Amino acid sequence: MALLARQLYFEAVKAGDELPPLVKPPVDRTQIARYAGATGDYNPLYVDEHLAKNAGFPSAHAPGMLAMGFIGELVVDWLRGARLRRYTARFVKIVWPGDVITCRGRVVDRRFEGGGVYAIDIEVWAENQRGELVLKGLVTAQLYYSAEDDARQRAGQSPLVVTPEEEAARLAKLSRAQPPKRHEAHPPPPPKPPPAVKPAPPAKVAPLAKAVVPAPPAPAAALPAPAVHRPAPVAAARQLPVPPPQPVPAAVHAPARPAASSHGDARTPAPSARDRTPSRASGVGRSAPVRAAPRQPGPKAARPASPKRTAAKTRSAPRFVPKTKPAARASRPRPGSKPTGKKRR
Amino acid sequence: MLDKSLIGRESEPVVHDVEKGAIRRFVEALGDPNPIYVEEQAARVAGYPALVAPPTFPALLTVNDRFRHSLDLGTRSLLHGEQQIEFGRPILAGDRITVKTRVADVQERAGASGPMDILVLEDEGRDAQGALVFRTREVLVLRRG
Repeated sequence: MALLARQLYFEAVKAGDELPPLVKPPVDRTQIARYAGATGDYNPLYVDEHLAKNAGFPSAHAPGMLAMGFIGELVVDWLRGARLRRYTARFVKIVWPGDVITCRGRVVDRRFEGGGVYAIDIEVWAENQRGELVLKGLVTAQLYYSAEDDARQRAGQSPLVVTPEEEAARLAKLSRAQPPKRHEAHPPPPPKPPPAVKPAPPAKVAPLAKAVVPAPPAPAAALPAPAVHRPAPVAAARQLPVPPPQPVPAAVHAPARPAASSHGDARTPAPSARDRTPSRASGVGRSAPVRAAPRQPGPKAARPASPKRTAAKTRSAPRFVPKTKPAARASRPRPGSKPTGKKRR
Repeated sequence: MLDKSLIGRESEPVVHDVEKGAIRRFVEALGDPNPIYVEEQAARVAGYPALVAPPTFPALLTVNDRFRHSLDLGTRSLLHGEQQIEFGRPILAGDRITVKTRVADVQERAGASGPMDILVLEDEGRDAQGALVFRTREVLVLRRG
C-alpha cells in the first residue's frame, strides 16, 4: 500500500490562506463519556447530569478540550507534518450535547525567523450550529521552506536559508516570466475565483459578522429562517453551483463566524471544501463525503421543528430543484451524501 | 476565595508511559480518522519514528486528580476557561514522560453570577532524557456555589 505523504511547505503558504472548514458530527453524550474515559478527566460537569443541573447548568456538557481536539484535527490535516510549536485556545462558550461544531482556520502570519526557520500563525476558531463562537485560538507551526529544505534537513544537512528579499525577487522573476496571469499576485491562489466573491449581493450582511473578507452567505437569504434544519442545507447545496453570485466560494472562504442567520449555509460549503483537498481522502482512505456531509443538527436543535414546519420546508425545497439540479449534479464530485439525506427525511 | 498561598505549590512528578492503546482511544473519542495515530506505517511515512499522539494529547497526561484534591477546591464546579500547549517535540508511542504540575496563579474575578475564583495550573512534561516534550497552562474557573 503506497501512502502518499504530502507536505505543506512554507513557500506555498500565504497570510490570509483559509483552511477548509471541518464539520464534526454532533457531539453526543457517548462521545463526551468516551473522551472523559480516554483522558481520565471525569469532571462531573461532563458526566454527571444531576450534578450539572444542581450546579445551575441546563445539562452536562462537553469538555472544552474536545473542541480543541477537533481543531487539532483540522490543523494537523492541513499542515501535513509541519511541526506544531504552540496551540492556545480560549473556551468562549460551552459545547452542549447535540451541538454540531464547525472548525475553521486562517493563516494570519508568516515569518522568516532567520537561520532557515520558517513559522506561520493560524488563527483557529470553532462555532456551533447556531453560529455562536465556542472556541477561539491560535496555532503556531514551523514549516520546511520547500521540498529541497525538507530533503536537506532529513538528510541531516543544514536548513535552506531563504530571506524575504530572495523570495520576493524569485516571485518577481516568476511574474515576469508569465506576465498575464501572475500580475494580480495578491489575491490568494489562482485556482480560487475570488473576484466574483466581493460583488455578491448580500455582502452588506457580512460586516455584522466582523468579516474581514466580505463573505456573503448568499443562499441563506433565500431559505427559511432557522437554517439549522436539515432541509435548508440540502436546498442550499443544490442551489450552490448555479447562480452567478457564486455563493460556493464565498461561503467557503467565509473567514469569521458568520452572523447567526448565516451559519446554516456556512456549514454547507464544507463538503465542497473537503472535496477540494483530496490529499487525505485519496491518500489515506478517508471518506471525505461522510465527514463533510451537512450534518443533521443534534436532537436538541431538531426537536423544535414540528412536522408541519418541516413539511413546509420540504415543499419549498423543490422550488429550487428544477432550475439547479442538473448543474448541481454535474459539479458535485460526490453526490452520495445528498440522496442519503433525502431518504432519511 | 481560594487561598493565594496555593501559588507555587507543585505536584509530585507523575510518570506516564505513552501507550498505543491510549492514543487510539483518545483519537477515537475525538473522532479523528488520521491514520498517523493508529497505523505504524502511516506514521513512518509521515516522518515519525513511531505512532504519534495528537496535539491535544497532553490533556490526558496532565490530569492529576491527586494534586487537585490536595488543593482542597471543595465541591464547586470547575470550568475550563483557557488552554495553552507548547510543544517541545511530538509525543510518540513508547515515550516515558514525567509530568509535574504547579499552581501558577490564583485570582478573583467578577463574573456574571458573582465573584469567581481563577486557578491557573502549569504542567511540564519531560522525556526520559530530560528534554522538554510539552508545557501546558490551563485556566480553570471556579464558580462560587
